[in-house]
Amino acid sequence: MLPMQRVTRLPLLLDAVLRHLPDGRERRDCAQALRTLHQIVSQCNEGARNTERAEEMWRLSRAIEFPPHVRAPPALGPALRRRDRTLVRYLVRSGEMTQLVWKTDELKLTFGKKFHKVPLHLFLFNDVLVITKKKSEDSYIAVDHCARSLLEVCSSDGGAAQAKHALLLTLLENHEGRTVEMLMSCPSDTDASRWTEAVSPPPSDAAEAVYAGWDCPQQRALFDYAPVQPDELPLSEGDVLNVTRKTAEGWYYGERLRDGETGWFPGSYTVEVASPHVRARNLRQRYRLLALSGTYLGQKRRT
Amino acid sequence: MTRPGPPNENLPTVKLVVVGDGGVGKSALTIQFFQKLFVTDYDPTIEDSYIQHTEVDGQWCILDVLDTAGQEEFSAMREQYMRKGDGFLLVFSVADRQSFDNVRHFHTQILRVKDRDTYPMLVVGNKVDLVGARAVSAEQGRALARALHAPYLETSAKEPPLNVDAAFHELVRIIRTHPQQEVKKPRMKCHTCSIL
Repeated sequence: MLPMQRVTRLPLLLDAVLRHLPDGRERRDCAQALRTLHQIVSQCNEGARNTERAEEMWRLSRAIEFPPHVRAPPALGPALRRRDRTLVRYLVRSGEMTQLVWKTDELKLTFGKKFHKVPLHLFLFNDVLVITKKKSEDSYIAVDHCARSLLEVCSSDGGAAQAKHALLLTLLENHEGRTVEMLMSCPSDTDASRWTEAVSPPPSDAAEAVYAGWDCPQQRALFDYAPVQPDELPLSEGDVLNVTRKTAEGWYYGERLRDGETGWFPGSYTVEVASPHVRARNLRQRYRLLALSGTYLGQKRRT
Repeated sequence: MTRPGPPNENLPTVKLVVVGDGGVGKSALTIQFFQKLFVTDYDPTIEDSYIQHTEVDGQWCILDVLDTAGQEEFSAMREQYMRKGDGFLLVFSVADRQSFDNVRHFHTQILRVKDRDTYPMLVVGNKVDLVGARAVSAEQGRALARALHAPYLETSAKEPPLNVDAAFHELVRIIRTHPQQEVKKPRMKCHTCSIL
């Protein structure tokens, strides 16, 4: 703890020195040293965050058990990206929710409650949602999971169940490849809105579309492009890029897959390639269309 | 120096953490409390860990105060200290509106790190000696503290100090009266440890 505490004091100390230095070479050197120190502390901070996330993933990988019937379980062990040693997968938010499940037995519907409550514990990672049942302190059994880009969430009045702080959570494709709607009740209103925020992709306006790293389109360069500005990215035919921003004027900002370089490039030089993002977008579009005419599942039952 | 010292048997250690924006006087408050000095500049001789036996309301305890100066923009490092704290001084400068607005962020971060709805905290409006430069009124300070369900104190670390001891002592009282929400895990016993 102490070294971490001290490293943050060094910039303060140098800043105090800087204030008493006259203009000149020494002052410039000092300012340079201060900038360097600041970078080092930032790196320490990132390191601390990364380690913390890794420890958490390690803990969760032992705490969450995937039974054999849950298909394609996501790997939860701490794995690092080779390029910048940051974690591939990390926890964004976790917490308890109650799922309200309608009783299907029509005969028993006359009296009493028409639904039962299933307590669940949700883990939202940067790219996947894992739904579990809590077995004991620090022990969970997974019941389902879904890519974060294939999640839809909207607030709900709780429907006939009159659930408090309700959310309608839709997994467009769960572990079996089916679409599942879940009516969830959160412990509080704050919880419900914070879950909605965490699950939803970043908002985009008309002038600029923004994509999250876990759900971004991919473009392939059709032509070579030589940059005109320093913030632009040179393209060679065949380069594949993850796009995180698109402006209305047709400029895209993205990361080149082969080396992780980022920058702006003209969208017209590239073409969109089939990626999980395209699939997620299509599934979402279909879901929204169906949602317009009653609930998705109701639709499916009738067809 | 000899004085009727604290009893030597196991005293409870109380970990206090001082948080707030840069330049609100976190170090000045801490140093004034421990060393009875007012410092204007960051001084390399300043210690980074302050431990002292203190008597509050007739009960002795070991106060371990952590000053988070320099960590304002590094949230991951700050969280590590937040995890260890038993109570928090949320400090802002009455001459700096921005630092006042940011108290809420610290409050939210602490509750998130602690995963609680309430936690022992005290809102502190520092630098009240700067009467002419005041940008936050006492009433606004009290209103914010009320919204955060925490008491409010106005302090000055400059000579003569105002309410500096009171702030630390008040926080100890808050910690003592705050209901413990969970039973602490029993300490690991020595004979179960093995050094490889």
